[in-house]
Amino acid sequence: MFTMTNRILFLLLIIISYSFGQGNMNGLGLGNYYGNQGTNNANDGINTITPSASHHFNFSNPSTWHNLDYTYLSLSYSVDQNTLEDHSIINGYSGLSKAIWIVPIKTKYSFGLSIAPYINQKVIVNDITTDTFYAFDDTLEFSNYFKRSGGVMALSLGTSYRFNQKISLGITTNVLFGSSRQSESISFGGSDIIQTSRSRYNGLISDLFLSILLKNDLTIYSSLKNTIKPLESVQQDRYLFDDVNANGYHDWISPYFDFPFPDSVDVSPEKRIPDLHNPSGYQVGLNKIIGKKTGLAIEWISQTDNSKQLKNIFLPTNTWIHKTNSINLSCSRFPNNASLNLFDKISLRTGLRYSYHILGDDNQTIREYGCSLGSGFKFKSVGNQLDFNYYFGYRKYPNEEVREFMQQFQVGVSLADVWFVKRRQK
Amino acid sequence: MKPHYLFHSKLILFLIAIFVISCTEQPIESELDVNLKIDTLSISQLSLSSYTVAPNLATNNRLYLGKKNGIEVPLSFIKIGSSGYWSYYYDSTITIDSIQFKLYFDDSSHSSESYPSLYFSPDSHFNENSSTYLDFDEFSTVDWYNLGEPNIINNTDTNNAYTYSELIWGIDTLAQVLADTAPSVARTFVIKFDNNNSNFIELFSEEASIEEKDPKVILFYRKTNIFTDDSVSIDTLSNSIYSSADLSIFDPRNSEHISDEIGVSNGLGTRSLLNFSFSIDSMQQGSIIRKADLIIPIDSSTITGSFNIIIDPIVSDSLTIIDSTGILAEDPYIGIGYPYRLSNESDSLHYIVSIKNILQNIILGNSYNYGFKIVSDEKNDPFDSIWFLLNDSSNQPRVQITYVYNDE
Repeated sequence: MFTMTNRILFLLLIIISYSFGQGNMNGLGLGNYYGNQGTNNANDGINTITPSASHHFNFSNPSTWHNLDYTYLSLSYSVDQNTLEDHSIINGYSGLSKAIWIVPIKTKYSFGLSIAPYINQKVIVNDITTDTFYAFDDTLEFSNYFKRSGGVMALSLGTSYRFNQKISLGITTNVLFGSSRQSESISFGGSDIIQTSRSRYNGLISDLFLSILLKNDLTIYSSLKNTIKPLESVQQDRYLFDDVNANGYHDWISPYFDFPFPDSVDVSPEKRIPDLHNPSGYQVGLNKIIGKKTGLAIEWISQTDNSKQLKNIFLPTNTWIHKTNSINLSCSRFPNNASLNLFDKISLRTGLRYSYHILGDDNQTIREYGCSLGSGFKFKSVGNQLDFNYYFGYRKYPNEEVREFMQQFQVGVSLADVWFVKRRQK
Repeated sequence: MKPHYLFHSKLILFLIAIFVISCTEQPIESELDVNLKIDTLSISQLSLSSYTVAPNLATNNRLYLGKKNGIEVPLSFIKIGSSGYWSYYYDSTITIDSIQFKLYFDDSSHSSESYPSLYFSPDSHFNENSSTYLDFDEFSTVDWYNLGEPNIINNTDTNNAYTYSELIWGIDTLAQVLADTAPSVARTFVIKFDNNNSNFIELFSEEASIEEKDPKVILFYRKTNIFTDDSVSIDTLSNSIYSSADLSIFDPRNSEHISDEIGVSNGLGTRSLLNFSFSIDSMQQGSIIRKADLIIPIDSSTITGSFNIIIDPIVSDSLTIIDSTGILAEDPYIGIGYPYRLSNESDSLHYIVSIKNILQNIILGNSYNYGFKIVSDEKNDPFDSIWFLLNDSSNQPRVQITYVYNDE
């Protein structure tokens, strides 16, 4: 039998889970960069390089990893919702937002491996206009449609080294990989003519992290992003087909055969499109510890996409994000591992975010305002942790009246243990 | 421990909610300018010519005899096949009482004075799929068995309304010849009008129905059954032996057709050849044809009913230079057939047919454009013709193509 708490929780989760998906950002460029969608994981909240899970540690900043006492395996799951203010679009999706494994070595070194979504390419765009074409005394009304699914993941290998009590260095190498399927269609005369294509992506991006303890309670964190190999697409186009059976696939489900027969066409040779995503940027963060439990942090994030080819490929909304600047303000209450008080095992974090994204084609700006509220609970002596984080924000797009609201709910489980310790023989 | 109990129940609840409930996928509405573009291509430089092939209408649903619309059908052949019933002639327990040859027609207005005579020959005189009037210039029934004119039975339904008629010839005299089971015996019948007037009759051929009204021979016989107790019973029975081939011989030589007209006609053997320039380079690479219509204006004044026209692309090895004024024994142009061969009905003003399948495959490089032959459907009334109108400058024959290509 469900208790009242269970019922409320169940209802809340249904509401959150039922309506989650693509936003307008998915239609920009290659898709929605996961870094632009709320928080990276449940543990860090809105912070990207400054500590939030504990007073000296951030899962996304390898220069802090060696401060961990135990090896951690952390998983975060995210549900995301994007809604237009007039409720004309309510979309959602859910999925793994980050899986990371960090091994600290003697509080001086560390290495870690993580996998996380990098670009969400899922998008469906309907043409709002219906055009006409005159063909042999016949007026054809047609409209366009674009659909893309898939995305790019980032497999990251990171390590850190503590030079001394004040300075730590970290580095991550992000191997980008993934694939997407996209279809362009033009609809007239009762059926769609569709061209499908498939793209495979690869790229290599590195981040260099530096942490400097300025005073006892004040630490500056920074990172520098550099692209080693810009994201490359290997694209293969399929032949155009008339989707007579209206299922979106080039097939022959009797009695409705798509035209031309699938057997009668060849696949185009693969073409390589280099330099589709070539980010560079930096992050600077300042963290002030107040007392032993509270941290105040401010972060400035700037990233520019130096891609040369992005503007030359088909983009569903004809634009892309060229540059993103963000400022985060956060306040965290850290847990106390040693305390037996239940409340001391609970961490709290909250923050505000302001971002502006400069579009590549016309330098117009998307402005985003967001806030985050999260909590974690440590359990067992090694510091296992269960985290929840909720992010709410809205974006104001140029030339659009209505705002886009985003909600993100993340849950994370971090399991800690002592690894690579030789056990004593009993 | 209390915290663990909480985690356990809530976590399970949470995971169920996350995994069971699906996501939504509503489209973004935006101005979308995809790379796919619509365009048209009109081809008006069409070359049309006619040629004549001696007609062979083996697959027609009717057998004809006489003259109509200037086309003469002097003979119709029927071949009765081999059958186990022929051996009844040699069976001592069977007594053949009579043998009938039957043909059927369903024209209640037919004049009772104009029925054909039947002739029989045990030899083979025609090939259903290839014989034409060119093979029967010297044909004579002098050496054939003359079976005379038929008896007529007009059948009615329960409301006394006319349904069909039977032409019945008694052919008892042929019993021995028909029963000859030698492989060389072909059992060929021919019908013809003995006088050269303007008689005309239209009969059911073997293609018209499944046995019911097929040309046939019926054996009427008595079978004597002797039982073990020496009792005897006699059954009176009949069996049908159906035609195995039939063919009307069309002779268009005396028709009033103007030879320079271009069109199609089964009875005249007139067919048309169409050529126009279209190749893999005629449209942008990767194009897909949404609609491709061949439009040819027609003079439909000679059509009495529905008229289907067949268009069939020509295979490469059938290209032949022909004398369009002569009469050919065989069609020199071989059509590709399925899936490009199309038959559709013309309207009163135009012959419009979709040729997008073959044109698309030409664009794809799977086929090549060697031209098209246009013929009358075998099921059309062979005495009807369609003539194409080529001289109206405001209504020229043309191919109209609407297609989509990627403008990337």
